[in-house]
Amino acid sequence: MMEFSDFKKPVREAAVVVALACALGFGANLVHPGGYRFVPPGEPALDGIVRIDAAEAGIKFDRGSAFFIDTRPAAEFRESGIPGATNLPGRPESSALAAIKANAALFERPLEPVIYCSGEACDSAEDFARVLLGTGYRRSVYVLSGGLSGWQAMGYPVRMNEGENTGR
Amino acid sequence: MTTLTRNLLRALAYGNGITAFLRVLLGLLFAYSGVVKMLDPVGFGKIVGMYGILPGELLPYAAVTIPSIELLAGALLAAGYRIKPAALITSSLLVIFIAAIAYGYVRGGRFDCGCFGLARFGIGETIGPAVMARDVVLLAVSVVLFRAKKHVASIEAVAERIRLREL
Repeated sequence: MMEFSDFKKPVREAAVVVALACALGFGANLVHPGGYRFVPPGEPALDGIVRIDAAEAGIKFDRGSAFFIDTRPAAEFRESGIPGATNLPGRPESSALAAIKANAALFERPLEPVIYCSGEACDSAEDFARVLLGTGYRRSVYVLSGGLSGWQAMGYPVRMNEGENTGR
Repeated sequence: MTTLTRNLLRALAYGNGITAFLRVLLGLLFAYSGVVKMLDPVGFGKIVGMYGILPGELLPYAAVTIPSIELLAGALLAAGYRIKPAALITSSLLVIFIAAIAYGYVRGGRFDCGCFGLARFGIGETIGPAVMARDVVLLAVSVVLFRAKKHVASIEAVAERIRLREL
């Protein structure tokens, strides 16, 4: 009969072989054009909200394919904002809904809405996006994940006080 | 059992030419199977998914690692290098395969088992008793290889001969 100790060495060597094989497998998959792409799981956009970073929003801005909605308080919006953005309240839900109804023409245009608030931690842009989708809006709704501060950090134009741009 | 068959089996279990032939055959089968699956990792992942054993997020990892383990263990067996660990790996894989096929079959699955990619040679591999029986035979071969004392026509044998000559 085989003793337990008879297995020790083979098991150890088998573990090395398996480890090497795994490395080989992942390496081969990496160069395989039809292989799996292992990406860290992001936040699923099941709710129809697409979170984009400043660089992507910048492309939309430059192309003129998007319009920006600023959900920060009106006082902050008066001081600064993304040029051409419209200030609409993100919360409470009732005022967001009322603002969307009052500005229905804004959303009927063939342009993509990009919604932002002050920065990473603010939620009013997300809240607004959810309300907008709740009204049956059919276009993708983009939320600028870094907010205005992320936009500004990338060096994109920001309107200051009297409508003057910081430039790039 | 006659004395002759008993002696033949004993020689086979100890390791003779037939053992070596089976080793190379099993090794090539595993290596071939590994390469075929590595060429289509996503297709293999789908088959693994059909068994309904692994959760979806683990499928890519299984689909990427199992074929390369098969390839490496098979190549080692065929070449006759690190035969014991390689045979241990193929035995473990076969045990897992048999269990998975049995599970899939009992649940009513009747799909290509994704075993050795032999369908293109006209050898059906739909999960069922036949495939399970075949895998049991392969498992028996694999266990014999693990336990065998002597491996003719292997890198290990050549290395041993060189070592003895230099003593």
